[in-house]
Amino acid sequence: MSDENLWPEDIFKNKVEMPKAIFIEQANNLAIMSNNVILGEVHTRMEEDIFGEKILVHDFVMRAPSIDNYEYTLFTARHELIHPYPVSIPFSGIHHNITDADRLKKLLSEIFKHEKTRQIVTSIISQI
Amino acid sequence: MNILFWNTNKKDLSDIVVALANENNIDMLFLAESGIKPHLLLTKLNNVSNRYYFNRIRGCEKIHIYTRYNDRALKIISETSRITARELYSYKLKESISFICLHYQSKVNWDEGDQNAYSSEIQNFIKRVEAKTRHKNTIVFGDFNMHPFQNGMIQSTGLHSTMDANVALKRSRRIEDNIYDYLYNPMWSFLGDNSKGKVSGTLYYSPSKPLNYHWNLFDQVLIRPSLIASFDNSYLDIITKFSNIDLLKNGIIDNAYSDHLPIKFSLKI
Repeated sequence: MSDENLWPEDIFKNKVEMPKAIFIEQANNLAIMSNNVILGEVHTRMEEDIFGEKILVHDFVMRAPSIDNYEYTLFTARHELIHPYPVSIPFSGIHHNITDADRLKKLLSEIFKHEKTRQIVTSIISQI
Repeated sequence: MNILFWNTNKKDLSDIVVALANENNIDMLFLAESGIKPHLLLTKLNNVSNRYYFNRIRGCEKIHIYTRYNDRALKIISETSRITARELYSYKLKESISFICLHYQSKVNWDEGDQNAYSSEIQNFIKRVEAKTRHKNTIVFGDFNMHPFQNGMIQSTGLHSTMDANVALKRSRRIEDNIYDYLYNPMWSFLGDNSKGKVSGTLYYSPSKPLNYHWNLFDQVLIRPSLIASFDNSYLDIITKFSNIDLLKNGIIDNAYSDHLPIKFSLKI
């Protein structure tokens, strides 16, 4: 039996920021900014694509329990179970294919600033 | 974990409730007959720090719940129009706890016979919750609109509560062919002047009628035997004063606030 370690030393050094972790962080920010009136939630499920490959699907949901439990899915993101990137996010008629965490954060920033998002938040807040 | 229940009589007592929750470091706040829009109270409660959530309603509009736990942690088990059951996992006990809060029919609409007769439905609700959760770590509280000594609170087919923890610790008793689980009712300790607390009830009503208790102890907390060891008797109280607010006027309840006094209790969970 050989004592030789064939594993590369840096194999545990490269960590990828997972899309779900990024979504949850932003969901928590929404709750903090709204005094918990609008909660952000990430609902994750597993599906199979047309080739039978397992994919993770994350719904980014905005929910207002104190306003008749109003709920709206802002966007849905999909990526392969093994590979967190690319992650695909259709939003407002455009299909985004995002290849890394930085680009994902940039897209989220655009989604949160988007007129559609503002309208939804305004619609919730207006019921107050 | 500190819990507060208050029937606020449909009044907007939001500033009072916020002061009450902050001063008593409340983790779970249950309001019956709340006259406050949930998002407004939530915003005020979270004005300093974001610690409260409004827990969603699934049928029981009569009770509003604000806690430090979101809906994933504090799960709805079952709800009717007057009773809600929530479940929370205790990392200290390594078991789940069921919180059942109710606002029972008032004596204005139902006489004692009606209340007693229908109390079996509360027992059925509790049984269904305990069957669903597969444990009996249950605490039942709220505005029962019944005296602790009233049949509906005592009878085996009703709440089956007892004033004595040692009796409750026997867990259950058999009557004919049926076994009935006990609930312990520590609120008996508030009855009379030489008892616990500053007042003998949570609602003062003194009509010019021959039968008159004056103080009515309608807001109560009942505990299953398995939680008695976790119940902090020293924290249990009927709140009459906090911050600079006195809920009493000339020794009776100041209706400028609510016609009920709040109760607070604590579980070491």
